[in-house]
Formats: sequence, structure tokens, C-alpha cells
Amino acid sequence: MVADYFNNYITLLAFILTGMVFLSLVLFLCRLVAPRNPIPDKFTTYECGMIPMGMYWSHFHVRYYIFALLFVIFKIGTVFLYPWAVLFRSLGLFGFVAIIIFWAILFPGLLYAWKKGVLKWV
Amino acid sequence: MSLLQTILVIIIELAAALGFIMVTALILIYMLRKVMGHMQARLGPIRVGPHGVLQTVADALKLFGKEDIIPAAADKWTFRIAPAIVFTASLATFSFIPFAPNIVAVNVDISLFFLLAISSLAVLGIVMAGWGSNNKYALLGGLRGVAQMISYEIPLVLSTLGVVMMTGSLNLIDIVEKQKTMYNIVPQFLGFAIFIVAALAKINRTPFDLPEAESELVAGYNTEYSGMRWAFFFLAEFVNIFIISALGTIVFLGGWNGFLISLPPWAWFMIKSYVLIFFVMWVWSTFPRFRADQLMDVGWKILLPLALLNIALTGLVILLREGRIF
Amino acid sequence: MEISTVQLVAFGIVTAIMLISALLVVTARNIVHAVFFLIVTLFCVAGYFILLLADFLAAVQILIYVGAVVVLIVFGLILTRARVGQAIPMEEVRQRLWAVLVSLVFFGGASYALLNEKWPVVSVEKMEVTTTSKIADTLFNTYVLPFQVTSVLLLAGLIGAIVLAMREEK
Repeated sequence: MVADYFNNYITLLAFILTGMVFLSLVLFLCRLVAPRNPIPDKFTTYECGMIPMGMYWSHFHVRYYIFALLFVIFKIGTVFLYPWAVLFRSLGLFGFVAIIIFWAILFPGLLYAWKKGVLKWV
Repeated sequence: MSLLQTILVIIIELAAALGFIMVTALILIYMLRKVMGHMQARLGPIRVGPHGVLQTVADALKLFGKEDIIPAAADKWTFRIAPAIVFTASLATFSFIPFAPNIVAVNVDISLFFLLAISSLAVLGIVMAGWGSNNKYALLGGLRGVAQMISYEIPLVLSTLGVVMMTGSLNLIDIVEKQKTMYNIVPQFLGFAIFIVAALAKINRTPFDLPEAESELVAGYNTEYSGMRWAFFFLAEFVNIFIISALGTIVFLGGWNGFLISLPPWAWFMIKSYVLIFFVMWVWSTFPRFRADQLMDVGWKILLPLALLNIALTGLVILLREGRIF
Repeated sequence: MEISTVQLVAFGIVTAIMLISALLVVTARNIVHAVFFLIVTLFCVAGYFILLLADFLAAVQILIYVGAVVVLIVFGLILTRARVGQAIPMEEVRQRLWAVLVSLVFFGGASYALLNEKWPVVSVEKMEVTTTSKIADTLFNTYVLPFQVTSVLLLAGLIGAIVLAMREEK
């Protein structure tokens, strides 16, 4: 049981490492085949053919942050749903009511954001 | 099993997985061009090989021979690592997909949950690509892409919960085995609909392809990428199309459970996956693109409440049928 | 190989990577690089959970911390007035003393809590994987009330952020 568990996760680790190594390997092979003719113009930033203007890192609207925060909060709520769903049948009505209360507290947050116009993306 | 055997098995699995995704990507790109071509009253690729079947192979070879360019203004290491993260996230997600009861690389108790967790890592690669390129279009496309992916990830994760409640397990093989008599798409049609819409947005496909809206943002987060580095983004995108179709097949369409004629399990699985892939391509070549604000509206104001409603309804129906209430 | 040996070796490797990347988070002169090293650190924590036979928590760690909190941090960075994306010279860092003080206090508190806890030790033969249903059982039978309070906490965080954002807009 435990041996199986570790076997599976070692395989997953092998997949992750291979993803990294494989890419480097292909790029290395590519370097052997590909032409190499570095002229400065090739390394300029692309801006539709014009000379790049200003800073690339301009200020962004606050809504990006709000959406990221909504995302984190609802994702945490979602994560709680998973163990509940697995044990749903044996938890029965009690678990169902517990999760309904949990979301009944959390969901008005979304409605509040909606009402305040934070969910508007313009 | 001895240590040597274990290592050998892992190496074989890795080689098989890499080979499979390469071939799948080549097939999917060819299929996309053909499907899209015929839907737009064109022929699609036709020159290289019979009916142009070798076109994508030729394209891959061409990309392989391209000069490797890193823009001078780019943040070198971030620029280099970004495609690796996107590709690795796809490959690691792929390892959880069971093709048949005994063809699966990583089979853990919580494979559905872990698959969803690993697939959320692609977001990081897109942030890195957008930021590391040091390019306005790339950054804008990257941040837009992330905003979109995070808005649809919650509905995607929630849409499978109805099935988990019915099955009582997070193991993908268990979920398929429970669908011997009836596919989950019947009782969980709402869940399936939410899954498909959220999945299209998660893999940045039309009508949700805003992060790489060619007409507005050049090419989005991968504007500065070329040659093989770009090819890895492209490869990961097509692997993701396969993964999401395979996941839809497993969770909602009964996986390798066949009907009428008897075929080997993996064949049923592939047929159903390719039906879903065709559906994705059909949508891709049919619909126009959403506006950015409409996109966020659909995710937060429609899909998220609907997904929660689906869970509540599923719970209520199960409890009522088993006589736990009244 | 014995499983406990595998665990021990893996623990060593994960810890080494984690410490190095955590150090790089602090010493990186470019704040975006610091975030990227933070990703590695958080990923290593997921590795710890897997080694402790709690794979559900590892998935949660990846889903919440690596996949969501990091995005929140990146989107938080783009709002700041600092010259994000550039290396900041050491002379301009003015809160060095406070940083040392805060981290010392935190380190002391964490060490105190860790050293005074009686950790349950399980023999190798009795090790078992923490299943999801076991987590659900604990969460919904033993700790229902704290679980409900969590939702209030999340709601408070959400409303607070919205109020702050509204003020920014004015």
C-alpha cells in the first residue's frame, strides 16, 4: 500500500523532471542544427516594427488584484468541498447542511462584489 | 519488484508518454487544419504527402532548424524557464490519465484532484513568459491569460464535484468503473455543460482565446518566442486539448466502457476522446471571440453560481432518493 | 530499498532545495525573481506532505499556494509603485533593521511552538496513507465549528479587499 503510494509519486516526479530535461535536450540538439547569425536587430523587442517606446511595465488596474483575491478565496472554499464530496453518502444530511451553511456565508461575498460593480471588467 | 525493475518500468512509461504526446500533437494539428479548412470551404494542407498528412511533420522539422533567439531586453532565465514550466505541467498532468484499467502511469487514490492541481501550474509559466519577455504585448497577453484562466478554473474544478459525490472516490479508474450501466453525462448534464465551457476557457480556445488574440495583442504571451521554444508552447497547447478531452471522457462519458460493439478498452477511450476533440475544433472554427468583460461575466456570474447549484441539486437528489430526508 | 530510507533521503534533498530557494527569496534583488524562488519553496512544502503520506494536502498545497497565492502576489506586485521588474540596489533598502527584528521574532516563535509540541511517532510497519475520507471525517465530525468559522474569515477578507479597492478607484 505504502510502497505503491511512493512508486506512483516517484513516477510523477520522474515525469516532472523529464519535462524539464527533455526541453533542454531538444534545445541543445536544435543548437547543433540551427544556423547562428546574430545581428543586433534580431534581438530588439518586437513592437510592430517600430523602435520600442517607454516602459513595458506600466501600471495595471486594481481589478486584476480583486479577481486574484476572489480566486484564492473561492478556491479555498472549493478545496473544502472535495473531501466532503468523497464522504458525502456517509456524512448524510448533517454534512450536507454543514456545507450549505458554509457556502451560505461565503456566497454573499460574491453577490456583494457583484453589487459593488467589482466584477465588471471594463 | 526490485529497484531495477521499478526504474525500468518508469523509463518505459516516460518514453511511451513522450512518444504519445508528440504523435498526438502532430495528429491534432493536422486534424485541426483539415477540419477548419473544410468548415471554411478550403482544402487545408494538401501538398506534403498524400492529402498533406506529412505537413505537420515538415513543420516540426522546419521549427527544429530555426535559430534560437532570446531578445536582448528579456530577463534571460525567466524567458528560458517559462516554456519548460508550461510543457512540464502538461506532461505531468498527462501522467494521471488512464487509457484503460491497466494503462496508467500514475494511479493514486486522489488522481482527479491531483490532476486538477498540477494542471493549474501552467498559469505560472504564462506569467513568467509574459513578464520575462519584457514586451508590452507579451505582458498584457500574459496577465489577461492568467485573469481568464483563474476565472474559469473554479467552475472547472466545481463541475466535476457532482460526479465525485455520486462515485464517492477521487480515483479516475473508480470513476470510470462506476459508469458501467449509465454514463455520468445523463444525471450530470449540467456539470458536463459547465465542464466543457470552463475547459475551453482554461485551455484558451475560441471563443475564449483572448490571451492570444492575434488581432489585438500580436500573439499574446508568446510574442517574443520563436523556433523550438515557441514550439513547446504550441505542443503544450495541443497536449492540453487532448488532456481536457480525455478528462471529459473519463469523468462524464464513461471512459473505456463501450456499447453495442466490443472493442479493446483503450480503443473506446480514444474514440470518445477524439469525438470531444472534434467538438472543441468545431467550436473553434465556428464561434467569434468574446469581449474581455463578457468573458469575466460568464465565468463569475453564470458558471460559478451554476456549478454551486449543480452540487446542491446533486446532493439533494441523492439524499432524497436514499430516504435520508423525510 | 527500505521505504524509510527512501523517505529519509528524499527528505534531505527536498529540505536542501527548500532552504536554498528560501534563502534566494530573501536575497534576490529583483522582487519578481523572489516570487519565482518562492514558487520553488512552496513546491517543496508539497513534497514534504507527500513524504508524510498526506497526498491530499500536497495537492491542496499546490492548488492553493503554488497555483493561487502566487498569482495573488504577482497581481499585487503590479499594483505597487515600486520599480517592479528591476534590481533594486542595496543602498535603497531602508528597512533592514526592522526586517531582521521581525524575522528573529518570527523564528523564535515558530521554534518555540515546534520544540514544545509532542509529535506522535509512528513505527514504519504502521505507516498508512491519510485517505481523503479520513480528512473529511475529521473535518466534518470533529471540527465542524472551526470549519464554519473559516467561511466567516474568508468572507471578511473578501469584503475588506473590495472596500479597499473601491477607495482606490475614487
